[in-house]
Amino acid sequence: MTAIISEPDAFGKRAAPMPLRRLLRAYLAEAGYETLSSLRTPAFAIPFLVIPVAVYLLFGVVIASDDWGPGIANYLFSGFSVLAAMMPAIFVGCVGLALEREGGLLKLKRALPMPAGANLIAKMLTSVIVGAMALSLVTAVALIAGKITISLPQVLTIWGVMVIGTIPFFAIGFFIGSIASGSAAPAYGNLVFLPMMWLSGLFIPLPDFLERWVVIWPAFHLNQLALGLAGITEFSFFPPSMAAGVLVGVTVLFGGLAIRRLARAG
Amino acid sequence: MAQERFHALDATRAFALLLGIVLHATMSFFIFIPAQDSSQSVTLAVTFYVIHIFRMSLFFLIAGFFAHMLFHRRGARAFLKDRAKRILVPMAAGWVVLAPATIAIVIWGMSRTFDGVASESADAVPMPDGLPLTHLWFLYYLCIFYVLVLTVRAAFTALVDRNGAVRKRLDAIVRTGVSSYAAPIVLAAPLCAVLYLNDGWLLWFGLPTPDIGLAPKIPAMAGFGTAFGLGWLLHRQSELLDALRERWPVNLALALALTVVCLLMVGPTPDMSTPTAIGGPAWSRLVYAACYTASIWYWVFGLIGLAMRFCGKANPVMRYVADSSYWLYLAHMPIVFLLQVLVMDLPWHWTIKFPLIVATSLGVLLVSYHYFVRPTFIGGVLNGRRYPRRPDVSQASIKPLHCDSAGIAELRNVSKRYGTTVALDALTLAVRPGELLAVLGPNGAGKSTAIGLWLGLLEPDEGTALVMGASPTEVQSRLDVGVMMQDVNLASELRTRELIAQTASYYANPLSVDEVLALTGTAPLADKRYGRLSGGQKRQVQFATAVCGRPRLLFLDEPTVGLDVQAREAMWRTTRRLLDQGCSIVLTTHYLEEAEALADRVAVLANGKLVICGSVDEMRSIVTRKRITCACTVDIDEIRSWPGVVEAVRDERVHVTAFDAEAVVRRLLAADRNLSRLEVKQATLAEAFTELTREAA
Repeated sequence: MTAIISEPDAFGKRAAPMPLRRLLRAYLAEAGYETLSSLRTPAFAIPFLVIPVAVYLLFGVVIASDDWGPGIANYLFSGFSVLAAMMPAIFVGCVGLALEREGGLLKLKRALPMPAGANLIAKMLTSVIVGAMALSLVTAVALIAGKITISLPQVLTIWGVMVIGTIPFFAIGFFIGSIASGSAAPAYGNLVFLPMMWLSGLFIPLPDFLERWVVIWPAFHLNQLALGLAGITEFSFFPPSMAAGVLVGVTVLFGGLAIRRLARAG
Repeated sequence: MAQERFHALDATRAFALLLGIVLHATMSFFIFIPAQDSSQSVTLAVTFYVIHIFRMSLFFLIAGFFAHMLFHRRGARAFLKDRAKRILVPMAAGWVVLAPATIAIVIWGMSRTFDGVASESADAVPMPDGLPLTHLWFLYYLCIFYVLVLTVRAAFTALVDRNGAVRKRLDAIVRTGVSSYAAPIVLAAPLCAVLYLNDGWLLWFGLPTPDIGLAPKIPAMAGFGTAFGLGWLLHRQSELLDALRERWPVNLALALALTVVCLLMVGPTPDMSTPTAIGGPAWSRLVYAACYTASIWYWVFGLIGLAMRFCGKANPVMRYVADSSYWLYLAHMPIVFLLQVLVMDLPWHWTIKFPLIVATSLGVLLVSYHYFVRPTFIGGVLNGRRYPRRPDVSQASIKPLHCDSAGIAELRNVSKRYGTTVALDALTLAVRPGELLAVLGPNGAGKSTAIGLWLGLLEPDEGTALVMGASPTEVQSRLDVGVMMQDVNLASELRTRELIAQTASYYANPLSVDEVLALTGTAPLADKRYGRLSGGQKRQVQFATAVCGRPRLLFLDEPTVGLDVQAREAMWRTTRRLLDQGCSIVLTTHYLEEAEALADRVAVLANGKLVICGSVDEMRSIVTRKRITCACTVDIDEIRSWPGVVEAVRDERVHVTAFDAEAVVRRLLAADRNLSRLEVKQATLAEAFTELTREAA
């Protein structure tokens, strides 16, 4: 007969520590099932994978004209890539965590011996993976349409920066998810996402009084970081090192606040 | 003496110190210290002006108040020892560590500011004519005031006022003064005279900050000394603070009005070309000095009154802020100045830079306080005590168990409160190896809290929670623990076998997915998505995830809610199998027949306390009620009137619940000689539970 409990004669003694291999497997399993669960949720997967490529196709390929200025297609590609990166990142953390909190799943996982931070890392990797998928679609359309004038290494640089750049947006979403209820989280997520999308100057020229404020939006900094590192100088207004610093700061700030909020406490 | 008054003063002192961080963060936006920002701001200049009026006077008044309190509570020797530790040591350490860093940053910032500027402009920058005390000057002046006040007090009591009559008169004067709206004007007089007579007085900057040179500055001694002295005297009759509480709106209104007058006279920003001059007739300078110094005291009285009104009660957040404010203020200067220099040339508006500087500084300082000061010897010096990083459970009082011997999971003398509600009150309870312990109790009895403590989801306020001999908040303690909670939504898009595999991955040596499916009878659900299962099927899947890690300790919270009879019996079979193999189980349930069928022991909680703990039979026997059933003709109302009868009903037979069953049976036999089909049973667990919890309530 299969032993269905461990070491029945070892009561009162703690179990041996998890072997490193099992520990890594636990992190991977958590990330894998988190991603699988997200991709199987139509309300999540369809908008976050389809919308960025659809709007890029419309505004960046079909409507965009060379008359708008030299290199504008490159700028639009970068701007819509930011959209593709930040959209799933914000909502994976925000809605996913809020629903887990509301449904008691987070509490259950914390009562189980889930490795420290596995839930956070799983959600972060999910946002990176889904973001990478959305970015790949936008990048593929950009390359096929042939509007952009930058080289393939530059395209890949933008893609790589954007994939890593999902992390600060995930931190913002994670923070929202740590405080909002499951039903309110999408609304709060949109309250952050929509103004940031429009007011960061990613796709449309902004009036002067709004342009002054673009620096407060992490999306602006991600765009500047990608443009700067890809060497697209005509649209680089901000040192990449400063932009990277701001994004790291945003990650630390919101990630720290969320972790603090979710910390075990009496 | 009402202790709550001191919470208000604690809060006010913290407010004064934190305002210092804001004040210093404004400086680069209207003057060139530590650097001149590219975005200059009149708003921040006015902010500086207003804060500077009252901040340090407010601080010194409260410092005097607490100094008197400490002196009279602990005596002169302990007072000096305490002040040496908490004022002198930080001052010395600060001068060694913080002051050089601050000065270096100021030099760097000013060199960046004046880089490329004509040499005569750069030469206009005043050079310090003494030892720079930086922002730590206030510690130096506190030391001076401590020495002065103890010296004056010793001389006064020994030579002038041996019988205390003069002090009584002094108290009467303070009482009358503080209760009057004119008091600020009187208190302002010394400083007003000093400032007015000082030809070098920089009008816009008000009371000059004595941050250069060790020789005490007369304006600071007059202004801050008056505040410290009044604070000292105020503590002698601290009920006077009530007068300030009632008058805060008027005091603040007057403070605001006088501040506006002053700003109108000197302008919203400092005129560095003629800083000692003021426009208008000759008496304008006197009017300005009078308005400025009076506004200091109206602000001080108004803000203390405001704090008395709204911050008078103990508040853990306020306590934390008050504790942290000393460190925050001591350490803030290099950080704030560094940020100011770093952002000075960025093409951002001050409305972005200023909040960024304040927020970043406070964030860094709070993190440093929480992790590197509060729980360390530095916190011991600054706060007078070290706070533990986590409640020290190892040192918690451990009383002998009155109910249990050592177990696989224990709660030892555990208390837990939510605000004023006591959820658990010194509860001691243990789960023995290989037993099923049913934890029962009415709603709000503390069952969920007890389970939450065992699962490491909560931490006790007092006492110790242990699982496998260690704190359940450690992941390793939970490696042998399985959990089935009552209200949980697992990931609805994952299939049963995926959910089991995901949970199994948390354990070192789990069962295989197929073994779990076979054990729990969930094989037919293996490939179905969780979101498409019925309520009962979901409970079965949750049970499967609870047992997949081969747990030695299993928590089952209302496991059979929503299950049909077959599924319930299957779950009971698996539960018994786990018990047979030595697993310990904690079961909470409202189905008492479930507890009766499975439990080795039952613990009944009510009002956060353990009412009773024992086997099911012991529980029943403790309850004195018994059920009597018989066929008889005795009138049912008559039976109900007999002593000891709790309840009597008739259907085919008569059913009587009674405390003294033997006496009731005797009376029944006497009343009806033809009585037949007599049965006497002990109470069920449900009846025992009802009676025990009713008694506890």
